[in-house]
Amino acid sequence: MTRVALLTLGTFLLLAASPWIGLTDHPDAAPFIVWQLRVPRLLMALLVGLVLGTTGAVFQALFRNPLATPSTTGTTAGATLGALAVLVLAPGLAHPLALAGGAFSGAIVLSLGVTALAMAHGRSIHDILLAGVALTLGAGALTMGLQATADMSATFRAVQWSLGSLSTVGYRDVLWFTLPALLVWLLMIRRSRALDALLLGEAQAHGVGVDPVKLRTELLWVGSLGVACAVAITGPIAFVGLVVPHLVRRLAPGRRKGFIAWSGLSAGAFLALADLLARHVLPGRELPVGVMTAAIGAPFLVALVLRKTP
Amino acid sequence: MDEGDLLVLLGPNGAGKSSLMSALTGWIRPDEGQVLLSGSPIGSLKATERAASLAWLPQHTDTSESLRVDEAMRTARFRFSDTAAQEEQAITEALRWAGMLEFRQRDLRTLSGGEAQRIHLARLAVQQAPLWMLDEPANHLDPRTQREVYRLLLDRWRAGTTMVLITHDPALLLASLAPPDLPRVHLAGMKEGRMAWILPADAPDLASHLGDLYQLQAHILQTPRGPRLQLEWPS
Repeated sequence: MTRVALLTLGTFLLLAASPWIGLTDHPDAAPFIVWQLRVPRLLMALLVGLVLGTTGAVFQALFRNPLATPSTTGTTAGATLGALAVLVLAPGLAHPLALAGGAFSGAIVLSLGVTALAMAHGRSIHDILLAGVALTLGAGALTMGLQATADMSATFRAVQWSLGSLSTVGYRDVLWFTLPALLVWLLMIRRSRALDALLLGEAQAHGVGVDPVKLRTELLWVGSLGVACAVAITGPIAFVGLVVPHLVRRLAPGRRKGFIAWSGLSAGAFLALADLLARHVLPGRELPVGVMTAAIGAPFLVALVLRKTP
Repeated sequence: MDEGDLLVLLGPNGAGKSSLMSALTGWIRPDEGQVLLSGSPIGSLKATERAASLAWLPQHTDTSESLRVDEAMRTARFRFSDTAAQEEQAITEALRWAGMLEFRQRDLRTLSGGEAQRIHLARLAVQQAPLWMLDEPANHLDPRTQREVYRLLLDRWRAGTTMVLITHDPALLLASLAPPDLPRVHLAGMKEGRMAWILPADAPDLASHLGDLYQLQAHILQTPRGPRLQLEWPS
């Protein structure tokens, strides 16, 4: 875990200096840009990354599936559908809070529908995974149906929203999101020992004194709620929760101590770095951060998978 | 069962041995009857309380995730809230007992079947429960390793651990027992979900019961090193 920690802390140092990049052209506007735009945006990226990375690491262990993501419980698909429903059915409601509210409601309805299954004894974790995939596809179909019937401007806004963006966040969002983000992180760290026992199978975990049904119910609810909050503010940001836990695992193979905690922290660093690049890589234009996370994460992960593990 | 017993569940595939063991460990709820652990219904115990009395090695272990041996050992200490030094000491002792001390930094997935099974036995030991339940602990192992697994388990049993064991190899079990062990070991024959019989390992009619159970001809030969069981097609 030392390599992960050094890499993450190094990135944090770089990020701490980042709000002052390229400000020499506009000395008058500098304090406003730094303190009102860039700092809250950086903080939000760190917090959203924290939730996505932690939840991704936990869900992959819980589902014992390397493809599980924070969206496996239908959270993102529900949020996208909810946001689009607001844009299409109530186009007059231009307020950003209406959009966030629609996204949050959709995320909660779908993910809680899926996670409710987890409470049943005798229900396999793969059933829950399958229900998550099925509901995600179903919500996706409804989303496309809505798009087909909607006018161009609503569809355009919905597509833009679904790319994920940190460009509109302010201190109010940061304040509102800090508590849930830290709670998700701390609670999941507390459960990491029980989660490690689950790696050898649910029966093995039962044998050493873990209640797998209670554990998965709790972690699925907490993770889905945290991700629903994040998605409501920034839109869905793909790839962070999938890729970062795998990167951490590859850098510290077989190690579980600190895995959850560092997956969250390094995902925060990763997302903030991706957002920084998304703003500066094209002169005068900003890329959606989700494009950047996939553009960095995908080749990096492929390279690590292809490299023989020591 | 009483403390210090060794109960061996035998029977053809599908007889209900693993289901019975799952119910005995509280993993599944029985449709009828109840399982009492030191007088309390097993379902009423907290998971960690149960794990303090009962350690279980199920038939299958998931090894899809890369996991170091020492981290796998740590997971079996879940019921304890001990300091790093205490945990370290318990893990070292259990690995030494299983002869696996030099493997502690290795990835579980890189171990051979025999080595991995020894680690699972060490995990049972590090949990420090007085009752062990093992579902086919010597399956898929070479003949020498099978005997080593039984030697480790029976040493543990002779030192006072109560055990329930599922096996498809009663011949190997009998060959692993010393003559003084025989009257203290109980064999239970299961058929179609029911317990058909329970006999001590030195019962004179054990051969006929085993033959009946597997629908094969069974002979028990008395040798200087103890009884030896042979199973073959009826002539």
